[in-house]
Order: sequence, then C-alpha cells, then structure tokens
Amino acid sequence: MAVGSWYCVFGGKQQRRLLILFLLLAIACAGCWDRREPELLAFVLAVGFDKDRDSGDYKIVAQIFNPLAMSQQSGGEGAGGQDKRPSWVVEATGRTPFEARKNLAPMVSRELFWSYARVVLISEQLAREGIRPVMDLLERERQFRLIARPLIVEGDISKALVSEYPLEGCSGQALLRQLETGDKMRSIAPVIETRELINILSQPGRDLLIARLGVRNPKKGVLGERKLDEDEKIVATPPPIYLGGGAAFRGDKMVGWIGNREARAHHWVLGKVRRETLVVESPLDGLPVSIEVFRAQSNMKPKINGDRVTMQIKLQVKGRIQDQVTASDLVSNREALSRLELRFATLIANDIKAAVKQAQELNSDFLGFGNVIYRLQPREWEQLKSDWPQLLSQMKLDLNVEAKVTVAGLIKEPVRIK
Amino acid sequence: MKIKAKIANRQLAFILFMMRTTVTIALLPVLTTADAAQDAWLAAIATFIGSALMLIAISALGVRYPDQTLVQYGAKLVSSWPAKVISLVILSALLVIAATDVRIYGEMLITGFLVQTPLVFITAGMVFAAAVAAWQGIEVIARVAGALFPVFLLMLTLSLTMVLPLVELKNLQPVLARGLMPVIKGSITPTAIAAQMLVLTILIPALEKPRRATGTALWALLGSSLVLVLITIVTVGILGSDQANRSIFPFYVMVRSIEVTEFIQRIEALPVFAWGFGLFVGIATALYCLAQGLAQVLGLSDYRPLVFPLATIQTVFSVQAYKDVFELLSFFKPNIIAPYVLTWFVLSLVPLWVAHTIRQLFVQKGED
Repeated sequence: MAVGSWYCVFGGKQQRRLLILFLLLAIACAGCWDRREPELLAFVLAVGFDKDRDSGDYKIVAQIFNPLAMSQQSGGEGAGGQDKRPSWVVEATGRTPFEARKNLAPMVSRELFWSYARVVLISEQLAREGIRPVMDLLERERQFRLIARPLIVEGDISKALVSEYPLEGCSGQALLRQLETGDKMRSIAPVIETRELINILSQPGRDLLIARLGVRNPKKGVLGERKLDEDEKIVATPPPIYLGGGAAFRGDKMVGWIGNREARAHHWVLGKVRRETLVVESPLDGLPVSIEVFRAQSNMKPKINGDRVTMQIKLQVKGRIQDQVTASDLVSNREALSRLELRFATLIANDIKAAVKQAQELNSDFLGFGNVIYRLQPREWEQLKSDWPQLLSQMKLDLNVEAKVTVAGLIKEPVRIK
Repeated sequence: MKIKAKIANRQLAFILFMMRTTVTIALLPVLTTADAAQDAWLAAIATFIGSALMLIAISALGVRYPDQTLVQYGAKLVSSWPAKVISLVILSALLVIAATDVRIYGEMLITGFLVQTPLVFITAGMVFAAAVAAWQGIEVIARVAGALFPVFLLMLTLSLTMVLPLVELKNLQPVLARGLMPVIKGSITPTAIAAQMLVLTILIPALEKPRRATGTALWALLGSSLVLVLITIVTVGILGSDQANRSIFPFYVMVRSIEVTEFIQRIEALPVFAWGFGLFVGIATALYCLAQGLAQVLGLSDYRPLVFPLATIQTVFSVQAYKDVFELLSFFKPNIIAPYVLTWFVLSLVPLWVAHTIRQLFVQKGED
C-alpha cells in the first residue's frame, strides 16, 4: 500500500461524511461531562446518622478513607508527612439528613464519594424517633447503595468510628468485617442489608430487628482506668465494640433493646442460624457440654380460631459436640444421647419462648408472626390486622423442636485417665 | 414504490424481542403502573395474552396483503385519501412510541449516571445513531439486531442468574390474595405498550416469508413475555413488592442493591447496556418505518431524505412532549395510556378491518 493511500479512502462524498463524523468523535474523546477523577475523591467507608437532642437537627458522621496514608506506607517517608492516619472522621448537622451531608463540604477538602459506605450506623436517639427519613435518603440518593448494612449503636457513634481497630486499617472496614465474622460465627446479631430493612418495613405483620453495636469506653475496657505500660499496650488494646443483640422496632421507631438470647431466637424462628454454640448440661452428671449448631430449618404455620391465634413452629436443628467438661461417655450411650438432645431442644425452645415474651412486652412483632399469617392466610389476616398488636400479646405457641447431635468431632469419648 | 429490502423472519423476531424487552427492563410496568404488587408476575402472564391479541389485530391484516405496506393496501381498502389519514395516525403513534422510549432512557441516565448532562444531549445522541442505521435501511438494522441479540440475551441472563440466590419467594406470597382485579389492572399498561408492534404494518412486505409474520412476531412476544415474567419474579423476590413498586426503574434498583459476592457487585451496567442496545434497535426500526411510511403517503420514490428530518422531530418531541419525569410516568398510568392507544386503533386498524371484512363478504374472490 502506497504511502498516503489512506488519504484516498476519504475521497468520495460518503467518505468525506465519515471523516466529519470521526472528527466529531474527537470531541467526545476530550472526556465525559460529569467526570470525576478517583484521585480527587475521598471515599466514605462508614456513615452514621444521629439526631441532635437540643435542636432536633440530623447529624451525619462520616468515616473517610485517607489515600495519602496508603501511599505513605508504600513510598516510605514522602512529602505527605509521617503522621497521616488512614482514616478521618468528620461530622455535620442539618435539618434533613441530606443537608447534613452537604454541610460536610465546607469542611472537607475533597469531594466525598459515598458508594463504598458499606456500614450505616444509626444512633439509639434517632432510632427511637424514627428511621424513615434516613432510609428515604439512602433509597433515593444514587450514590448510596442498599447493600450497606444498618446497625443501631448503643453509645456514641463517633467513638465507634474514631476508635482504633488493631487488625484493620480503618474503622469502616473493621465494622464491615466484624459484621461478616459475627454473622458467620455466632447467630446473636440480626445482620441485614438496607434493602431487606426497607422490605421488612413495608411488610404487613412484621417489625424490624436490627443488630446492636455496643460501643465500649476505650479508656475503661478490661483493665479499668489503670495506665498501661509501653509493652502492655500491644496486647491490651481493649476491643472498642461489641456486636450482639438487637434493637426491636415498631414501624420505623425503635421500642427497645433485646439481648443476645432473644436475637438468637429470631434466627431460630426464621431458620437463619448458620453457626451457634449452646452449652447443655450433661444428663448424667450435670456438667456442661458445648454443642455447635451447624444446621437449622424452621417452618411456621398459624392456627386461627376466631380471634385466638396459635403459632405452630417446627424446628429441625443439627449440632455437633465441640467439647465436653463432663467425663462421661455420651455418644455410645444411646439413651444418654437422646436425653442430651432433649435438653438441647429445650434450651432452644426456651430461647424462643423468651423472645416471644419480649416481643409481646415490647409490642413489636420482630419475629414476623403476623407476616406468616398474611402470607399463608391472607383472608384471615384482613380480619386480624387491625387488632394484631393486641392479638400478638395473647398469641399461643405450639413449639416442636427436633434437635439432633449427629457429629462428635474426632473422638468418641473423653480420654480415659488411669 | 415497493420495499425492495428483504429481511429474514428470524431477524424480525430479534428486532421485536429487543424492542419489547427494553421497556420491560426499563419501567417494569406490570408492577409500577398499578397495584398488582406481589402478583405482578401473574400480570405479566396476562399481558402476554392481551398483547398477543393486539399483535394479531395488527399483523393478521398485513399478512393478507403480503407484498404491501399498510399505506398501500389501505389505499386499496378505503380509497386513497382516507388511507393517507389512517396511515398518518399509525405513523404518529410510531413517533410517540419511539420518542417516549428515548425519553425514558434519557431520564434513566440523568437519574442514575449523568446527573448534570442536559437531556437533549442523550436523546439526540441516541436518535442520531438510530437515524444513521435507519438511513442504511432495514437490512442493516436487522443485521445489527442479529449481532446484538446474543449480547443482549447474555447480559440479561447474567444479570438474572447472578442475583437468583438472593430471591426470596416469600416475597411473592400471598398469591392472588385480592382477587384478579389488581392483576388485570397491572396488565393494562404493558399491553398498551405492545402498540410498538405497529411497526409490522410497514415491515411485513420486507420479510422473506411475509405470510408467516404473525407466527414470527408471536414467538418474539412469547420470548419477551417470558423475560418479563422472570424479571418480575426476581425483582419482587429480592426487593419486595413495595420497594419495587415505589421505584422508578425497579430492575435497575434491584440490580444495584445487591452484592453477588464480595468481588461481583455493581452489575447494574449489564442491564443498562442491554437496554441501550435494545433501545437502539427499537428506535432505528421505528424511524425506518416512519420514514418509509411517510414516503409512501407522500408518494416519494425514496424514504431516505425523510430520515434525518424525522429524527430531528423525534429528538425535539422526546424532550418537549413531557415536562419532567413525573409527567412521563403519569403517561404510563392505565387510565391515560389505555384510551390513548385505543384511539389509535379505533382510528386506524378498526376501519381497515371493517373495510376488509366487507370486501371479503361482498366482493367476489379473485379480484385482488
């Protein structure tokens, strides 16, 4: 092909049109209209909402990830200085949650980017006054994503975000990991996504239960007020948070805290237990055995007789022995094993009874019994729904827990000490 | 002037499938336009029945005149001038549909991605691309549709299967708790949107096997209805009916509010891309039919000089027809869109069917 022959391609009339088109495309190459360079953004990893007690304004707390700290790690002592911390926590107030968010702009040098905010902390104060306005923002605003996980914070939000988490770079990451780990290892905190939260809010006959995040006072911690030695500090950084229990709601307003045990019952009833350890007393000598549950299935069915409701809950649980304090052989003794299983089942049933009692006291249907009626017997629900809070308090339980121990680890019985 | 271009029936099926599925992905009208709530997937099935009837009303007449467009056989049925009026009604319907499609896409982009961009840039860009395709002719559009179809289907399949583990069928209960009325109401708007199939009035003579047009179109309709049912089940199963119902773009909202794994998230680009492809094919086809039809009404020998003027009109229309997104959404309310579409039919196809039936009854066979 001769040099310059490409030029001839644009000789004809139609080709000349193409040339103009290509030139027009060059304009588009200059960049896009709403472009935002990632280097110039600051990423928010955790966001908290609170309400100012005096003014009634909404307060937003954002934990911002600081990229300078990262570049400093890899590049040694750079121009950024040595004392850049990986995270910065800022807060602002406003009459609406969004105004509060916009009020951060005059204080933060970079444009904030919220899509990576994966944890949403809500203060107890705000939760008690109603979370709908905050949910409206999260749902409406295109930067927020509904995969973020909500938490109700008992204590100070800023403290939870400012605290040091030795294993993680910054608090937002630490909280997200904590939620994943907590949900995987123990079923004592109902971890949900914002998407599910909004769905539950709109479901008839079901109230919210959101995981509780307790904030510890870092100064007091395990060692009290005593001053730490330099060496001691490494091992003695007290954990700043505790994930367990939950906040029970009625509508969008929180009505009370519930404990680990009742939150666990929520997992039992909805068949959501992934792993949880129960300590059962041996039927032979009363000494404890730990059983880890690895599977749980549940089935609920309402029985309606006029305005008397009985909820049938059928639960199938499988567990394995993880350790035993008692020296007796439980596994080869069939009769002992089935008595152990019976105690195991009773323990689970007691969890559920305690939770139902609490639901009735708080008048919050966080176990979703009304929703079961709505889904399975919609016609009856139409009759019951106006009196449901009252009917819930009179509701009877018909529990049928079938708990089995099917695995005992690598050994059958404890060591035979001679 | 006769349409010389020939496209395979299979290609027509691709075009119609993409055209119809696009609106489904966009607004999920079975769910958002009425209160079918968790029964929206049943409304999607009802929609198939409704739109199949509509499709037959449109294409069964065209199939009887396999080598003529509606403009041509209309002239034969009801004489020249009334036929021109009827044709203009159908062409205006095509213009409204195409402009509205573009507008929805534009609103989606300025809501979700390009918040500061003027609407007209998005719609003009999209219409311009479609106009270039329409200018090239229906064969080119059909080939583009054939090329994009696998990609379109792949993106849909991916965005549907990846989210499948998160579907909670509990969200679909109770089934039919409030009787059939909400289901029927929910199916009105999506059935009315099937007026898109009016492109068949012009396209049938361009087919290789025009007599099988109804069957081809029915297959496309069946496919897109299946997608509609699936999308509805998945969206309601993940978001719950209330959250999905309150969303302007439910499928998009669903896709962006899930995390498949830690590494696969933000898959919202998939449906938005698929949507873009479908929209391109849809409005290119509509523009082609508009230009072709208008050329025949005016007695021009070539449709191409009309493509860019019509594209300009469509762009202006897409921006000017609706003041804002709320007005756009209210157009899709059953009590507005249903009479609207019904008027098109009463003014265009009904007189033609009447004339056709009379001819069949009173004019001896063998004359045409």
